[in-house]
Amino acid sequence: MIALSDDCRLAFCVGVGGVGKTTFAAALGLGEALRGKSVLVLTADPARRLADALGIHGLSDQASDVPLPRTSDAGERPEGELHAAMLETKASADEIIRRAAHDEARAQRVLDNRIYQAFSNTLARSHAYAAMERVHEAVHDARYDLVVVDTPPAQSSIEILDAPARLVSFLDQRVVRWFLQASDESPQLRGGAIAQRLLRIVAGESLVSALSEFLSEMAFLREGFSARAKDVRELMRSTSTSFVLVSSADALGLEAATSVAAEVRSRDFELAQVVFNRAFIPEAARLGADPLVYPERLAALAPKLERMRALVSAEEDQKRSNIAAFCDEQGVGAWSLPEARRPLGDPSALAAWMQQARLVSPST
Amino acid sequence: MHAPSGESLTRQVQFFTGKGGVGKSTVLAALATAAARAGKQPLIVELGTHTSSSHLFHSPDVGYQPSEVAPGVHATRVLFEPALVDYITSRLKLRPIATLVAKNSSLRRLFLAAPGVDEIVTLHRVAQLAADQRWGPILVDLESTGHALMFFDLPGVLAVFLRDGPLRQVVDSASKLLADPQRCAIHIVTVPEPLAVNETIHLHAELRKREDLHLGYLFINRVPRAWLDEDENRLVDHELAGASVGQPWAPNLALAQYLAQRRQTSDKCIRGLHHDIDLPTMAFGAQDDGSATIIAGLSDAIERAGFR
Repeated sequence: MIALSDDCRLAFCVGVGGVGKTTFAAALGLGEALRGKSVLVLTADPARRLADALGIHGLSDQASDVPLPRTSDAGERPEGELHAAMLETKASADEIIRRAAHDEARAQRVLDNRIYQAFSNTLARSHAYAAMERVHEAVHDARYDLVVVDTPPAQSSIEILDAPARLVSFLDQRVVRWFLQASDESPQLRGGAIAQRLLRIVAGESLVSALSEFLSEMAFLREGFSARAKDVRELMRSTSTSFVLVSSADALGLEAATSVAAEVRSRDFELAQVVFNRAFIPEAARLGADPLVYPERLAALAPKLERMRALVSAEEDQKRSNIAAFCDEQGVGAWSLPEARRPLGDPSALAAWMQQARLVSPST
Repeated sequence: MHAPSGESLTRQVQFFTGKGGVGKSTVLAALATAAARAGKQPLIVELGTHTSSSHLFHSPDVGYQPSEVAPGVHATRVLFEPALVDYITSRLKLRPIATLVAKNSSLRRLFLAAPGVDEIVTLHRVAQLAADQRWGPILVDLESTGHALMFFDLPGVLAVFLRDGPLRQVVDSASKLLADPQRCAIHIVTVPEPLAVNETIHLHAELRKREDLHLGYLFINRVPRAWLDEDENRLVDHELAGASVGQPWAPNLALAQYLAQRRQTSDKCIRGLHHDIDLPTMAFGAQDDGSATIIAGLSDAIERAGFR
């Protein structure tokens, strides 16, 4: 059974798009809830699939309760809890501003700022910052023992991983200060003033002015934001945080998995589990290696059945050897999950699917 | 299925989006191969750190400068740093100074942290490549649904507070390119699976709302094969419910039943796509694992469909 360590408090599911990452995040959260934890699954994916996988209607920035399936025939309910929420960048960002401002008028000035409005609703980086804040808040929420984060596809999932570090670096340094008080007089700020003048040339007067105005409105947020970004960055490296790589098992999927694994490791994050989705068809497990003799009534069908068997067996072998090669190369074990016969659309189906996971160990 | 005229595929700049993992890059590679065979100068544009085309074509890693990945097919990757230097150079006219600006530690932190900088430099780079008449078609491998929508929204988002200045020029020329039905088309790639179909219908509806965008094709990739006809499928079901239970060939029948269900799901998905999306469609069968075969198969299919 695929499970996180008992002391795991935060798990990031990473991987390229279309490999079933959201479905897997839902199943992983469910599995941990069935083991007795109180779990929040947080999807940062702009496309809304988590609700579909869990069989609930509509998902918002506020966590929804997901009913757990009964664990025994006697109808016993498990002790854990499962909650799900979807990151809405604008809602999360507005909430952050209100919380940090401690003052309605001050909050409103930021919320009314046109740069804030333009960026809080769109753009990958805004999304990454809001996700980071939401993760921070969820991890410190006493209602949850574990937070499972479903990151958006590829490029943007790296964006999320880097968001805290980028923000800390930006907010901690002189950059913001020379926007607020650029002056040629202080030698400390002279470099900044020159940089700002260059920025005016490459980005334009109107943007730099708007940005200065925005940053001064935001000034009161800076400390809190920076402190939380630092917290999240530390949290991501903590031993109670796990990264779970989800991949497909075909050749292109393997290439992508190798590159995502390298991205995770290069940031000193711990790759706790690797999961290959759609790695096999359960029906193929009982296929023989050799052609069969069929009864007369199936004679017309026999050649087609044999072609199907040969093709599917070859595909299964290929995926198996792809996964084995990945495990050997990376020196890690991995889980294989089957292709689901029907779309997984409720907790019972998710749990049954997870039961079919097979462990693949590296050969050395 | 609409008769593919191939018209939108002859425009100079082609954007491709769709749910992750549907084989966007493979379709793009196939189109580029078909274009090269027809004597054109296709350029594949990839965004970000991950490159698919070098894997697909078994070529060395694709970098910022276009390189030939297969006969007549070039590819480039929009890497943030060089694209940023290119943008700054276009404003300052002096590359050494642009490099200094890009390397200035305060500005660097700003560029790495500020939302929208990636999108701006990407738009600038695409416009720059489009201005270079050497390339056509330019095939841009966008990210999946949500981020592609953000990308297309950027010019509108920025126009709100950029009244003038160099960034406004980038935004204006990008908007002009995106809105030009003679030069630009946006294609959607999907697979006939329920989750992908739901997302594709949503994506299509969202793109339709943006009236200045011009949609091209819907590519349906990895359509599973129909192995058996209806009578044969009925025989399989009948055998599995009775005479063949426990027989050595029963697993093969169970597999046939499974593959038939997969095909049924796919048929239903394709009907749903046709119902909700009125774009000309091109469908490709599932191919064996092996990128060279896939690209060759797809580009043959594209040529048969009349795209020259």
